[in-house]
Amino acid sequence: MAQAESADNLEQLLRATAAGDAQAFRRLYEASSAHLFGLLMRMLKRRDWAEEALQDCYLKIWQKADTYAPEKGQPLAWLMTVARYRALDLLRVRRPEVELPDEDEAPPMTFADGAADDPQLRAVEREGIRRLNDCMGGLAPEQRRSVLLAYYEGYTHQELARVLDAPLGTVKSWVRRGLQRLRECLDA
Amino acid sequence: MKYQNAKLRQALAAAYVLGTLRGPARRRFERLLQKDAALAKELRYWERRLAPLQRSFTPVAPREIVWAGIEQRINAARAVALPRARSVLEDRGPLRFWRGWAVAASLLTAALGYGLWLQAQQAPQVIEQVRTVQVLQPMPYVALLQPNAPAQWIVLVAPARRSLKVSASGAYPIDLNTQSLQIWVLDDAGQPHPMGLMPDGSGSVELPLPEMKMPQAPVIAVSVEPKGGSPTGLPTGPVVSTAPLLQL
Repeated sequence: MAQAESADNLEQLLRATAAGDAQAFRRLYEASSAHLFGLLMRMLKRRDWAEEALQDCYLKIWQKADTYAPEKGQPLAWLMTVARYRALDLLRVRRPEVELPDEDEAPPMTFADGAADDPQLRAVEREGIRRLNDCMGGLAPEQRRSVLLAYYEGYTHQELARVLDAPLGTVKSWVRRGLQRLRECLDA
Repeated sequence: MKYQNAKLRQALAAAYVLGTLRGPARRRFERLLQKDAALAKELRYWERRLAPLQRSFTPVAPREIVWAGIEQRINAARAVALPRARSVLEDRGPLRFWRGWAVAASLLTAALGYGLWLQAQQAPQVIEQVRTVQVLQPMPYVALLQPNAPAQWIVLVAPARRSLKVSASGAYPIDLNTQSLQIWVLDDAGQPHPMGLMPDGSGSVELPLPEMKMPQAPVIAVSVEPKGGSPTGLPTGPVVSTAPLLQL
C-alpha cells in the first residue's frame, strides 16, 4: 500500500486541522480519503452508503482532530479506526446481504504480510505487523477465520454463525478464545 | 454488567475493537470509556495491535462530489451547536448536495446584488477615498437567511464600523406579544454570540456589533426566544434559519 503522505506529514496536517486550518484539512482528505473509502466500500458494500459514511467520518475528523495523540497509533491508522467504527455503527442500522466474500476478493483470511518488509514503515510498525502475523498464524483455523471475518466484514456473532454454518455458542467461543489467545501471544 | 474485573475489561475492549460488541452494550461501553481510564487503555491496546489488519483494505478513490458534501456539512455543523438535532441517516443522498449548492448559489447572487447596491449608494463619494478605506479596513460580510416562511432577511456585518444591519422583508410567524427573533453569530468553534433582536415584521435595523474577533468562517443564525431575547445569553428556542456570512 503506497502512502503518498508520510506519517509525519499526516500528523502535521491533523494538528493544523485541529487548529481550524481548512486547507490542511483538504490536504488531509486528499492524502487519506481513498484509504478510508476503501475500508467503507468493503464493509458497507454499497457505494451510496460508503459515500455518506465517508462524509460522516471527515465531519467527525474536522471536529475531533484535536483528540488525536501519537499514543493512539499512526495517524492513518487512527483515521481508519474512525471509519471502521462508523461502518460498524451503520451496519447496525442497515445491513447488506451477509455472505462469505468471494475467494478472488482481497482474501480476508490473510493480511498484507509483505508489508512487514516495507522500508517506508517505521521499525516499530514493521515489528507490529510481523508480530500480529505470527500470532494470527498460531490461532486455530476456525478462530482465525471468525476473528478476521468479524474484523473485515463487520459480522455479528449471529452473522458469523450463519456464514460459517456453526451454532451460535460455538462461534462466540471461537471469537472469544481467539482474542484471548491472540492477546497471550502478543504479550509474550 | 460488572466492569471491575480486569479479564472482563480486556474481553470487552477486544470485542469492541473487533466489532462483535454490538447494540446497547456497545453504547454502554462507549459511555464507560469516558470515565474508566483502564478501559481506555485496553481499547488503545487492541486498536494498536490490530491496526496492521487495516493494511489489507484496498484504497478506493471517492468521487469528487463527496468532498463537496463534506464542505457543505461542515458549514451546516457550525449551526448544530444550536438546539436543532438532525440525524445524518434521515437526511441523505445527492439531494442534500444539490440543496446545498442551490442555497450557496442564491446566497452568492444575493451577496453580489447587495454589493452592487452598496456601491450605488456610495457613488457620490470620492472613489479614491473609498478605495483607501477598503484596503485598510476589513470588507463587510453578508448573509441571506430564508427561513421556512414568507420572511427573508439580509444581514450585513461591517466589523470596521462595528455595525450589524438587518433588512427583513415579510414577517416570520411568531407571537409578537411573547416572542422575539434573536440574531446570533457563530464562531469557528460553533459557539453562538448574541447580536440583538430582529425588527418586528418588515423593515431594517442597525445593531452595534459586540466586540469580537470575526471568525474565519462566521455563520449567522436566528432563533425564536422569549420576548426581549434569550434570558441565558445562549439560544433557548428553535433555530429558524442559519447561513454562512460571506465576506464581500
